[in-house]
Amino acid sequence: MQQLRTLSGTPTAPHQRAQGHARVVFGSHGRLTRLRQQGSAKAMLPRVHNTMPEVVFVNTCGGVTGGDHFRWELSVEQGAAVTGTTQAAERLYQASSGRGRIETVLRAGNGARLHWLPMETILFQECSVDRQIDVELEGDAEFLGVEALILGRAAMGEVLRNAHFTDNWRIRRNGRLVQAEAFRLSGDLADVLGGSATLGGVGALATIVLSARDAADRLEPLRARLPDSVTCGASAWNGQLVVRLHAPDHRPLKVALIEILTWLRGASLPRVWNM
Amino acid sequence: MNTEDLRHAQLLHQWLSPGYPTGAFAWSHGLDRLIDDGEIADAAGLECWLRGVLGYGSGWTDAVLLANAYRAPERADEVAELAAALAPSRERFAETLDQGTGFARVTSAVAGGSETPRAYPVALAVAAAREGVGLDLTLTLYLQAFVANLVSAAVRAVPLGQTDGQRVITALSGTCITVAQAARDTDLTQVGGAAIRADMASLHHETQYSRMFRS
Repeated sequence: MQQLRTLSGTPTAPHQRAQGHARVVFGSHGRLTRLRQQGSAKAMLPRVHNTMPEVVFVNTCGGVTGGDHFRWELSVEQGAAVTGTTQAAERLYQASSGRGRIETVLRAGNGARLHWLPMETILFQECSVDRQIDVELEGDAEFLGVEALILGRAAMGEVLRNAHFTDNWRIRRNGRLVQAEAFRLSGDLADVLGGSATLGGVGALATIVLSARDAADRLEPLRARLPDSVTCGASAWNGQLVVRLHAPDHRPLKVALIEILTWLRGASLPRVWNM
Repeated sequence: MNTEDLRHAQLLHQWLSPGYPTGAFAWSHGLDRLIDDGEIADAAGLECWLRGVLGYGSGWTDAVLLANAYRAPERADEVAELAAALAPSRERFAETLDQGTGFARVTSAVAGGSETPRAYPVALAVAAAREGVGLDLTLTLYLQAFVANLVSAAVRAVPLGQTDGQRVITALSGTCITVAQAARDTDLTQVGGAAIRADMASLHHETQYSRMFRS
């Protein structure tokens, strides 16, 4: 590939590193108290006909590649409620060098409700990204979160052969770690993609977490509603309700997610989910 | 081998033998469900599944947790908190906590040391570090015992003969060493994997009609 050259003749990277930081805080009265947007990160507040205000985060670069750094922060103070989502799927593109980094920080005060319902993340061949999601809850705050991963674009015949992606969730309540999720793919994926204990037959996966005082009470009614169109299962322990879903590709996964999430939160999902 | 090395080998043999009262025999890591569903029906299927769990599932993650707690026993509570939080389901949480609690109880009663209830790999790490047992040997034999316990569960649950079970253990002994070696110098950022189908099996085990095992 021909390198771009500056006037002085030194080669420059073909990809301009992107960085962005968006921070949104909702006060205890339920109104926006702080909005900070920097670099390629934006946050929009659409008018919604819902009791929960919505924040839509936007990566104006349309994806993440090696060397990029994005940070998304959403906080809701005591007693208030907010739903966070993203404008579009997060695309993790092939990296020519370096690691991309995505940090998501979600905080909810005592009695607050925070729902984190972003669009799916799509892994492309030779992507290289580390993602960290930190959730900090106080008192009896309710947190509902989902992350869906699409492993390559199956519809376009693309098979992931080599990629680096780590996804670490750490959910803390009153400073104590109550749940950790650690998904990790790195290097040659031939073994892990085909394995009966690993990703065999799974092209799209999602994890839903509900951390709430009544999380365990919701397990049995949820189990009765789990769709049989995808492979899914649920469990509850230590104040956490967890649902895991596997599907061959994105479409059936999304249908199942909409059904489960709508029931769990007792309200429709942000509009972007139905587009 | 000097007598100190021999004593360390004796300790690991005692701690990791099926007779040590950790209750290991009661847990199947979700295998019970896979056998019930007919997904694992022979030695080849079992070996393939265990290889994935060792390399990309709790084999790897437990080895990283064990190595980190061993190298810094003063941080054992922090590692134990992470180990417990990483459980993918209620039954897998109970599987690691119950065995670790049993291990710490009997080990402290017999030889002193911590009786704090902690996830199994962390409880073993703390005892091994206290006795000066080598990390490489502790990691390798922990993984070997994990494999042997699940093979034993499979031998009880499927028409898999004792000899076939031992063939699976033998076939995976190299993987135990590879995973142990790769995990020994890691830090905690390297926990995690992609054994998501094994995690799903443990979720499905919770609603299995007739269960032979607690996980």
